[in-house]
Amino acid sequence: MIPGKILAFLEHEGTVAVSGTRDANLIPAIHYVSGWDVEPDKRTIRCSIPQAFTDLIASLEDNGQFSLTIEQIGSHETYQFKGDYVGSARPNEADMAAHEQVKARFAKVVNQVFGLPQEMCRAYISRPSLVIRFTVREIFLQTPGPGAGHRLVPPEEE
Amino acid sequence: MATQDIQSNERLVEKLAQKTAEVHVLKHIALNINSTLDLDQIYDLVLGTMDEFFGFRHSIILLLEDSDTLRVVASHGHENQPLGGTVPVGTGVIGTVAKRRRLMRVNNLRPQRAYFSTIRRQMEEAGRASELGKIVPVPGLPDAESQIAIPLMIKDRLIGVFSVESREQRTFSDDDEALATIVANLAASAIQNARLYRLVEERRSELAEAHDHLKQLNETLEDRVSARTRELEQTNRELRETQVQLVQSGKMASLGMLAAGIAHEINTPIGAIHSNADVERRAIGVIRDVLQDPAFPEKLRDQPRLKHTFKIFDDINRVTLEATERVIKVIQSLKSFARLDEPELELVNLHEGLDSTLTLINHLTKDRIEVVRNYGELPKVQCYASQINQVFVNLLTNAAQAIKETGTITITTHQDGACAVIEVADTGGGIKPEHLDRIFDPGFTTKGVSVGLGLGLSITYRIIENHRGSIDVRSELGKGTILTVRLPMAPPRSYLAEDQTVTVPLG
Amino acid sequence: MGAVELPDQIKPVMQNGIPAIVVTCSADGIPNTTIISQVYYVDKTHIALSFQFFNKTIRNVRENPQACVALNDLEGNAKWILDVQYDHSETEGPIFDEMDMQIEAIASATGMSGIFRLRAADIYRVRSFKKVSFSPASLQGVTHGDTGYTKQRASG
Repeated sequence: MIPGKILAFLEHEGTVAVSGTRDANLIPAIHYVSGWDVEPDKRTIRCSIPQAFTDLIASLEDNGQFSLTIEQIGSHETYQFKGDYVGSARPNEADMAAHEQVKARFAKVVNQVFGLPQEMCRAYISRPSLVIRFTVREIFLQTPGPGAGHRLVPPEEE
Repeated sequence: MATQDIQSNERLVEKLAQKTAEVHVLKHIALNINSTLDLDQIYDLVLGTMDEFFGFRHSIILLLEDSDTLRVVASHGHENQPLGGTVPVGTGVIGTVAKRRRLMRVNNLRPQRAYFSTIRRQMEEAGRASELGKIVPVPGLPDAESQIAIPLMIKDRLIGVFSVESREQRTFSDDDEALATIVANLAASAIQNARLYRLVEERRSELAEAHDHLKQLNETLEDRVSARTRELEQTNRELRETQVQLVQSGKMASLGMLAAGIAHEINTPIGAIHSNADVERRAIGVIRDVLQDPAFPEKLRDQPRLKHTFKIFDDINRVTLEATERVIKVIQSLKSFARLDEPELELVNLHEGLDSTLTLINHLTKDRIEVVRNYGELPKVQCYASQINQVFVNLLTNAAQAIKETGTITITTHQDGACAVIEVADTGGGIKPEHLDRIFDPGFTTKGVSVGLGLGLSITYRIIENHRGSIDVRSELGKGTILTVRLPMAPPRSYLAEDQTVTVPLG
Repeated sequence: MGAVELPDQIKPVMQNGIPAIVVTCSADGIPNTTIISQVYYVDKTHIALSFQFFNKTIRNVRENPQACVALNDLEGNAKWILDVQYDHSETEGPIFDEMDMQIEAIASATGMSGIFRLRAADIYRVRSFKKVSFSPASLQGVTHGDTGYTKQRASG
């Protein structure tokens, strides 16, 4: 389901991720994401959420709508994944390992691009306390520029 | 809570100290910036102080060169960038600030530039390069993170931009912005003052130069005007004299020709009368001789009527001879005077000229004026005889006319070095002192318009001048006038104009 | 209660150059999460977002004005979450000029003036905000590092 190129991006290149939900009144909410991993089915993504942003379960259980945007800071390569909530879990070792990887990449890149100390950047990526699992329904290219907003999956009809 | 209060107070104290320091630095700038009118000193003060006290390491001042271009006039902390770089108005942070005349603070310059560059690259890769514009290099740090650019304004008019950049991640704060704004305003005023001063100085020096030039021109002009005026006056006088001479000479020429004609016509009959009278006288003598013959009756010979008749014949013949001789003399004078056949420069006996003239003006002097000819030794003088005779006519006519009733004209001649001197003195009424220096002016006369043209002495003056001679006048009211003419014996020929107007003198 | 007012300390965060996050929701209930380069401070109760390209965010707020904005303060190790409501768009005036100027300044030097052009300044009213900050302990990697946050919400 998720193309190989994007899987590679998720695994090695994405440096920052944020997610969105909405409640019954269509009021949207932001939830920072401290790490991510793709399950073997290549269509379910596990998002690690820090405790401060875990107040999303009610909305997810109510309507299931979830969006995740991941960017590679520097190149601005960005994808948005929209999908349906599957369930939640406590972070396992693999989630924590993914979190550490993301934190390291983030600190390195932000230090390069914005010149901020790596330690400060690492601290900014909070330890996750909850994992949200969702199946990807659509993928949008969100890299700024000529193709921004273009739906990659399922491919847009010309 | 107490700890928090103390911390809060400490922060306030710290902030107060910082603000106080800022005020001192601003005061320092404000005081010093107005003590100089040297632009470089102003730039150094502004940029140096901003670095030293506020840590603004990289700053530049650009001034508006024309409506489209800003030029870097001062730079601090941009070692590798020479001054003089330009920024098009409307391009980059500085150009945009100039275009909008609004301060601008950018805190993510490098990421933004990178972001735009990334998108540019993507568009190029997507074959959309034609939609892109040119990349314009702008002065400043290529890797600046933050920048404050402030328009330098004088009232509503933009004169330039003051820009501060930083590579530091520490972004410029509101305080920094306020501080930079104050300094920019101070700088704008000082720069404008200095520029105005420079402009005024330039204008002043230009004005002074222009003034000097004008003054010089004026002086030259005055000289030229006055020289030209003199020239014109001279030309005017000459023109008038020439006109007068032309009129006079025309008149004189016709009178001269008439006189010559008359002389010629009279000469023959007078000659006949004269010789007839002589023949008659000799014939009477023959008759007397015949009457003495013894064969002639004595009674008839001694008859008183015959003797009386002979006496009448003798008297008539004598009168006829005398009268004709006098007429012949007058005719000779006329011929000599007119000299129509002698227009060339020649050696002239001035005494003859004087005598001829006196003969011709006899009617003016007869019976009331005694003419004393006090002639000295005088060689012949090289001159135009007819012109000199005209001088004599004018001098003697004036002298005769100056004497209302009876008096004396004394003509004195002598040689003085290379000059012949002719002095004509009359015992007339004299000339008023105020008229003395005008008597040689054309048209000046005291005789009244009907008497003459007032040209006599002016022509005289001109003729003598042409001969390189001189004439002067001395006069005393009620006692008389002496006119003295000095003529060079042999004036250089070149002095005498080739086209001398032939003036035929007549009283 | 009166309207929620943004504290002055949020201004430097908006100006720090770190991208921000906007989540909107379509009328049919699909959330949309985007990363934007800057959020502009208008006044204590309003912020502005730039409308340069016609995208999902712009479409969404015109059919459902609710939005959520997050500001990143890495130096202060804090995240500011703002619940906002799209109010109106401005195509002139000081806010528009300020935002337009920022875009033009960079675009003009990179030859991108034809591409990056501010169509409008979209003005949002702040309904509530929260600052999610972290204790110094979390900097040292304490497991439950996320500490309390404050949340205000305007009535109505």
